[in-house]
Amino acid sequence: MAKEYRSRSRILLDVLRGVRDEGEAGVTRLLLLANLSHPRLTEYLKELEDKGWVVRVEEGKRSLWKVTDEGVRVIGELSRVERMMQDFGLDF
Amino acid sequence: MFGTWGSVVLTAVVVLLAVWAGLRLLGPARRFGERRLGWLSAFFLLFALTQAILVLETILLIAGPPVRVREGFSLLEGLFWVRHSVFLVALLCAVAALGVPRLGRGAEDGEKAAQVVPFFLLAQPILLVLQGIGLFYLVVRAAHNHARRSDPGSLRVAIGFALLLLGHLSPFVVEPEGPAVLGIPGGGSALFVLAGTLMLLWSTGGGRSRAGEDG
Repeated sequence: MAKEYRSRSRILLDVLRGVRDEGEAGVTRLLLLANLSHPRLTEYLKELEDKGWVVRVEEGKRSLWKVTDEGVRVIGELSRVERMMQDFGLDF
Repeated sequence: MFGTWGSVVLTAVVVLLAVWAGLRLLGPARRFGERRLGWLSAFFLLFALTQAILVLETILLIAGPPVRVREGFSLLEGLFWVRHSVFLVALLCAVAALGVPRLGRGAEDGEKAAQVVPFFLLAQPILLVLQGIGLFYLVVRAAHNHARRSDPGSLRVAIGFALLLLGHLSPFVVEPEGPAVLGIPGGGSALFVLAGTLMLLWSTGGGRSRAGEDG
């Protein structure tokens, strides 16, 4: 079966929603939620961290990710972009 | 229905609305690196430019005899060609945003296309028909999207593009003077374009949150 197309914004939103819904999420859980390969997920998490939308929390040997207040605002913004792109018939 | 100045005012409002829509899309396009939003933003900004040129053309037309740039070629004619060429580019941007198979297959095809372009630009009826086809394509895409989604937002976009198409076509079905043919009153073109732009602008905000969604 052909893999569903996801825009860049959609992937960012999926990762952010995944982290937010879990409260604090590990990479293994996020791999399932965001449906990404490990290298791509790492790439996206680094980008989100650089932008200050998620923070890394060290818990023993594990690294967990948490959404920042700015990240929550971005989720709202991306959700509006999602609706708008779908209204115009652009694949999101 | 409107005087010429009424149409000028309506078209000036369209310019502002289209710029607003373009800038509204440009923000998220740059923030999230979403290229197709960038194309859509370019469509609105270029469309605003065409409407601004239309305002200038109408004012020049009202003002008096055509200003001759050189023998046989008036400023009004120049503005006409610039406006229609820019509108074609705007439509191409909208098509690029929606995504279609790439035109041409390589540099050779591109060169051939470049040689053909001036002939198209010199042929006014072909130019107008091309614009009509471009707008019709946008209407069909939007209607198809609405048929799939059945959502108020997608309906607004479909109606918005349909009104732009009506605005484009209405000058061809209206008598230059006197009563309208097909019931479309004179000056209706500007009104259709204004209404269409408003509908599209409304959709660039992403609408209100729906139950169970973020934002």
